[in-house]
Amino acid sequence: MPELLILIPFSAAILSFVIPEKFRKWIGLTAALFILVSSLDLNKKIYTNGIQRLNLGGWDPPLGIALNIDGLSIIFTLLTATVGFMVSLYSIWYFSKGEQAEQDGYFWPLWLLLWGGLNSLYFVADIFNAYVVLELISISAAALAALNGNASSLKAALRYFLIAMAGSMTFLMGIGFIFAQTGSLDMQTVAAAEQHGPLMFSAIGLITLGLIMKTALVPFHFWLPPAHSEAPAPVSAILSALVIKGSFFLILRFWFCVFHEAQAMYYTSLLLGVSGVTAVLWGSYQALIQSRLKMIIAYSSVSQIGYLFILFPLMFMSADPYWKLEAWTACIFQTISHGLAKAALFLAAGNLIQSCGTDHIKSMRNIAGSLPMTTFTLGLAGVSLMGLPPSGGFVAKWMLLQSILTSGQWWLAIAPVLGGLLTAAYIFKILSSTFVSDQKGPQKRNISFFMEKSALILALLSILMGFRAEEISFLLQERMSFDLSGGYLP
Amino acid sequence: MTTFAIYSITAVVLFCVGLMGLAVHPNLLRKIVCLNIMAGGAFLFLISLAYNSQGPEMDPVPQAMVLTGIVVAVSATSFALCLTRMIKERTGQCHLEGSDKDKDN
Amino acid sequence: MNLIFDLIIAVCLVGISMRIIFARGHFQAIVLFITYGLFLALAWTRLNSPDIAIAEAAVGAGLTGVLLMDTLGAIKTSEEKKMRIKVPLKLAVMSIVLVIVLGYSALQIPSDFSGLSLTVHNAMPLSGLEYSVTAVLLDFRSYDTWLELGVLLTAVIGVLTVRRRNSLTGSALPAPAEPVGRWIIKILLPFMVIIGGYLLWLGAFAPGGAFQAGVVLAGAGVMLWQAGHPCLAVLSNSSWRLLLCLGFSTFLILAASSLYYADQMLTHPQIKAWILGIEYAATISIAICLISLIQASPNSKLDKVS
Repeated sequence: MPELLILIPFSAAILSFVIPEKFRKWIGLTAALFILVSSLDLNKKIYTNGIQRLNLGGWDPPLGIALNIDGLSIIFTLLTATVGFMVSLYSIWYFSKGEQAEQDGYFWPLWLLLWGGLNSLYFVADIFNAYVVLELISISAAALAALNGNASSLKAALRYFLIAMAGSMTFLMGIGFIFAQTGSLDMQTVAAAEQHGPLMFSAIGLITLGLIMKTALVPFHFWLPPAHSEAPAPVSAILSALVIKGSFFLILRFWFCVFHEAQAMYYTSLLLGVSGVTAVLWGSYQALIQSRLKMIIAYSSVSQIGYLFILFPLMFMSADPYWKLEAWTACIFQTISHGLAKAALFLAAGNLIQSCGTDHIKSMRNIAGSLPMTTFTLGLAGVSLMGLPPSGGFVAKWMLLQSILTSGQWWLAIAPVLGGLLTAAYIFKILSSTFVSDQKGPQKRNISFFMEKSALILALLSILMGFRAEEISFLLQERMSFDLSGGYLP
Repeated sequence: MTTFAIYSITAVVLFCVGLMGLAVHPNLLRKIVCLNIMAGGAFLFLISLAYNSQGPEMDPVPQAMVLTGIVVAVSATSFALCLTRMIKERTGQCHLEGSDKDKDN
Repeated sequence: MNLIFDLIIAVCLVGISMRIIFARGHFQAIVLFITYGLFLALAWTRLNSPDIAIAEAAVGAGLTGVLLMDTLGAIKTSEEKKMRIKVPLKLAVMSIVLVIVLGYSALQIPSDFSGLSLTVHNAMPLSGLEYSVTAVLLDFRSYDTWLELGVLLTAVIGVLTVRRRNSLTGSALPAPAEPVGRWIIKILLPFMVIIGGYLLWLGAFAPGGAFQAGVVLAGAGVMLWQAGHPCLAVLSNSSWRLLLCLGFSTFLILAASSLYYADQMLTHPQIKAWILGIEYAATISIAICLISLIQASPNSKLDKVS
């Protein structure tokens, strides 16, 4: 039952808010396990039986609200469940000692509320419902980003929150325009209605603008590096692997399910493509010149998000449906492999900080000797980000390059080619400093077994997902509730 | 129809004024006020739609949406104000350095 | 006549919003913002939405105003610079273009627009309620209302997290009010509770409902608190937490049990008592959440005491 994926995290959140602090983490871990199991179960059902559409409250849309679970939702749900489970496991030990211990009681209710919000976002089938869920996600994510309580993280959290709120308001205005044009809030009814004229043009612009603010696409990327690098390690992993993917998911839903006003979308998609290519180059360059590990990883997120937006011009310029499908699959692959690799990197960075006390790249000498497992994790996740075979990142970038070349849009190829080189450069910059041997270095602290393992498992998954490419493509191509050229399938 | 036109245009203007204020004001308190102006604009647009609907009565759905939106807006405002207070306590400042510079490129 | 009235409201709204942007002092801006809220309430009365007008007057002008004033008191510095805001030309041009584009498209709204009014109208007899806005909020789109209570709860947890607080009881109460203040409260409080209860009861068949009632009760609670009355501060930590999530958990339990019994989330017997039960739980929760949002972030002096 897909509803369980909403009910479990919310019940666990309430429970963990009411009970005493020391039991909260075990509630959180149990809930994470249940969510993982029920999302695997749901995946099996969708895979074999096809998409599901459920009404809530006993009312049919457009009067009531529905939930829509298709291949795209299930892929995002699984990504969230996997990363979420590993992060929960990691957090139990991360928040158990030192100055992090006092954050423990606050982390769990917020994280579970955020998880519930993300799961309900993936099932969303009503545009106003999407707004409420987005707000739930923004507030809990901003509160998590401020968990450290130091001045720089508070500032970063508020900067993020102001942008997220401005994005929400723009999105709400867009909902008003869609409602004015189509007289409905249900996505399927909106998709079936006539869409033309300036009203729809404004709606597409407002919705896309509001959502790219939250997704941190250039030029709205400036809030991301401080917010993601100042937060505690598990929170950084959640924010960059899941929260920005949540708003990206909504962009995909709107662009491929709801809108079909071809002309307005064509010009907007060009803008998105230019922003995407700029993001890839600018983000990688910034990552290369940073000197703190978490800042490098955060700027790397800015650049990897750019790849996702190259999808949009490809969808409107290539006429061949086969290559459209290829570009679409590449984009989702990139989302998954970036989510897994980035979560692994942030968790590994958390290990390094606990061990060395800082994340300055100069102070990371000889960690290859003292923390071999964490260094290995950094290397594996780096391979996936660079897009070397057989990683998931390789599959994504290979398919992306192929569809760029067949579409004849050569300017877009700058991103994967030059971006890949720059990515390799900053990954080597991280790795090379870990192998510098330094006998006189300060005493390194030991890292818990589970903290090293959960980061490693995520990195391994981002490499190994390449071997499950067929199943993912099946979910993406045969279990869609919509047609790639716009609108729902009957 | 004319009443509707007056209010929907006003709503759009209020929304844009709020957005502009958010971008130009360095002070955090004023940024939060500007967000609330934007919200007011978006709500006014929805209500003017409800007023304009040609049904047997006024469309209750946008009204319910605005009621939900007002609760969400006051929650978000109070959370943002709490962050502002903490920043003031920690740093003695009431703005985010660099944010006004980054805002409009 | 009405048209002139509309035009005056519209011009005032735009003028006030511009003044808020360009006001030099923060205090002036906040007072203007409260006026802005009152003018919006006026606009909504004119647009036949008394519900929203009550909510806006209570929240937009009332609660938000209190929150802003309170924060201003906490962040005020002695040498506050009254600087003039300059809008860069680029930004001004962009805003004007945006106004023109959005305004032009807003005028293209089809004249036969009917939204969902007919759909709701036809379903009203099935819902067991007489007032359509309440029916939309608590029956047709109850999922949204559930998540909205979730947003409110998240904001409270967020404030507690940022403030590193575990309970409301830890914060110091203001000194008990002087006799005049107590006398005013003695008169006002019963009225506020009655008005809150009346609004809640009214929601089933006329404008009013859980949210408006919750705001009025929250106002009464904040007043009591500020007067130093201990009735809210002595709430034990666990009962305060339970009250905070009462509304959200009621929906949660309803969702889980309806999934178990009826195989569909959030369905319930179409009896008025059910809906009113949910509404009462939501009202209490909204009131407690709003009081906590205001009282959990007091100024630093009190914080150091706790």
